[in-house]
Amino acid sequence: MGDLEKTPDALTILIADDNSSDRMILARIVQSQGHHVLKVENGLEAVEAFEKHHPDLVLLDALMPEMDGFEAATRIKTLSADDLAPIIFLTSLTDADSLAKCLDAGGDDFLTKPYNRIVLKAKISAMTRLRNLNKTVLAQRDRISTYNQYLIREQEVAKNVFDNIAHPGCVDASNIKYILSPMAVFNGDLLLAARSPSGNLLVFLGDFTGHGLPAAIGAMPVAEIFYGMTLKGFAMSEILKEINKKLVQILPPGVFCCGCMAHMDFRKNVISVWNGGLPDAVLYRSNDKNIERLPSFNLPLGILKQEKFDVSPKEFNCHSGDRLFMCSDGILEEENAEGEMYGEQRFFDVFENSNDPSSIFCDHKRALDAFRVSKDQGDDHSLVEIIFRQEDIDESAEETSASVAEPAARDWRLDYELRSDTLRSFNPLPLLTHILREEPGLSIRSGELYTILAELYYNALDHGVLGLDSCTKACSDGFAEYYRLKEERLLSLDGASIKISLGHRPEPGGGVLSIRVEDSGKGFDYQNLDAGSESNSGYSGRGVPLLHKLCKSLEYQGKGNIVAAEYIWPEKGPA
Amino acid sequence: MPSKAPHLDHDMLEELKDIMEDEFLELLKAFLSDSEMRIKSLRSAYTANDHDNARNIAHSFKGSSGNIGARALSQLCKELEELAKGGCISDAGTLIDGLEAEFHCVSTELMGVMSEHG
Repeated sequence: MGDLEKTPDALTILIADDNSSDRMILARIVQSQGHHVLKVENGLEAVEAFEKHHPDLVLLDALMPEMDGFEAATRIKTLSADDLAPIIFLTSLTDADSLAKCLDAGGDDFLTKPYNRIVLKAKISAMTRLRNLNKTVLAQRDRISTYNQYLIREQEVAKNVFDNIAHPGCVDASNIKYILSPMAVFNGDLLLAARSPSGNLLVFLGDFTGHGLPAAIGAMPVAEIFYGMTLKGFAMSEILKEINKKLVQILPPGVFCCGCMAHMDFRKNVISVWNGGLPDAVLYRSNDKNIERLPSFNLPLGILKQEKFDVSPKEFNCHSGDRLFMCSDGILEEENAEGEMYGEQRFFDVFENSNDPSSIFCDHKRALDAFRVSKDQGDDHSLVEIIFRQEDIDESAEETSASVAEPAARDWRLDYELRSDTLRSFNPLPLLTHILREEPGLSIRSGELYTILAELYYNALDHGVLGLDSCTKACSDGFAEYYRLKEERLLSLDGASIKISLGHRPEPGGGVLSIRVEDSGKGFDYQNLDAGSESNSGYSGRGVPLLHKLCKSLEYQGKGNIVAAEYIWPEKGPA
Repeated sequence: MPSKAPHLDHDMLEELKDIMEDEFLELLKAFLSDSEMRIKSLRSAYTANDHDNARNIAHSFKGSSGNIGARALSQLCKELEELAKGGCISDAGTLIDGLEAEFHCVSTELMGVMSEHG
């Protein structure tokens, strides 16, 4: 006779009613629907039972002695916190105010007397659905929160690995200022700076498409290539080529890296800039406070195959104190409260309105902060300023690893001849620098030695083999013309050669490195010149005064196509 | 307005019998003893002119009598509850007398049901 339904998911239901006959009826109805019942007689007992048994559902009489249903409901809701325990008020109250009071106290539904088991069953089912929904939401919330924590931990680990790769950089040098989020690498922004063996500065600002790990993944090889090749003395164009090659190889389609690289040659007072897809870089002239915009003429890194990738930089004569600015497009795309973009106009107004060159960077920061809604937003914007100024380099500090336990200097000789095909495409300086670094006495002097080798080699190649005239560079557009001629003559090179001989012999307390470079060019008239003068056209641009300073001796031989230099270490003091 | 409703809703009692099974008699006994206590409490609340207490008892009695199918009794409880809600029960004497009389009728009928059932 009894329609005892066994629900597979039986609930534990707390019934609080001071009226024993009502309590009996309700308990029986609930049990007949397959649930477990806990019975109490007042609000206080209801709260205690709730704390002890954590029922799935509470049926609560509104008016009870000791503690009424409203107070009990409030306490039960506080106890259950996130874990939704639906409360159904049992009431014969019918006025709107009383019903509202039930809801205010945390009630989820009402059941009016006399009880109707069909209505009660429907309400229990509805509350069960509500409770399950809440459980699902909570479980998903917890999962999202766990994933998020996991993601942050992963990013921190990845950031650590990245910092280990990127650490030898000099982005914190006193002539470099930047805005960059500490986790910028996960927004796709990347700032790298390093000194070449000759003391020149290379800076790279990159902006990968996308965010998060996919954006950060490309940053690792870029940093590794940048630092590795800069340290070994590779030229900017070679570093760019290598980065591009690597990114084409590893990045998925649609992911690439906008970037701007600058090389500052402090001896020749030249900045070379290659911009591939970043907003215009800006060269600020300290003397007349004018700016030159250096727009992107190239596709971003990681798109073009090697043979189509153009690495020729723009070159500019510079003076100490000139400033180069590079920024990612996040700056220009920053939005204010009205959804308006920061834009180029505001960016360039800052240059216009700044009177003091040294305050431009701060003025940019101020203008940006004033524009955007909150300082938290827009983590993916980066701005860097590099002052054209050679910093003192503590070379011994940077080279500590190479200079432990010096063995005695060795006696050796190396002859190395490069022919036309090789001259066209290969830079021998990193290789030669590497060989010299193997000689302990020389390794800590690789900066000076790189400078000497670079001067001698490029003299032999540009002026000797290719017959180029440095004067070309002096006039406006001269650089472009110079490089155009260089490119043209390299292509038609035939039967040319450069022979480099390096020899090292020990001396008491040190050693002597002799360098001889012979080119197949027609030479120049070195007999009649005063070593200090730069007026002779053949002599100009050969950096002879510098070479004289660095070397113990420097001598042109033959028809001017042979040069022999000797470098002594440690430097002999004035006795 | 005195109610013309029957003392007990027998359809509802049948349903209760169905729901309660072996607890049916126990339920009726509980109802009868609770109700007697309530009527006593109502009397003392009336004597003490404690309208709040009278209102709570009437409210509770309304619910339990409604659940047992004693509609007329429940209706009288409702009238008393509303009177007490007004803040004065000095005129409630007649109503309480009527309520008690109705309960006796309900009680007698329920005894009959119990002996039938037993």
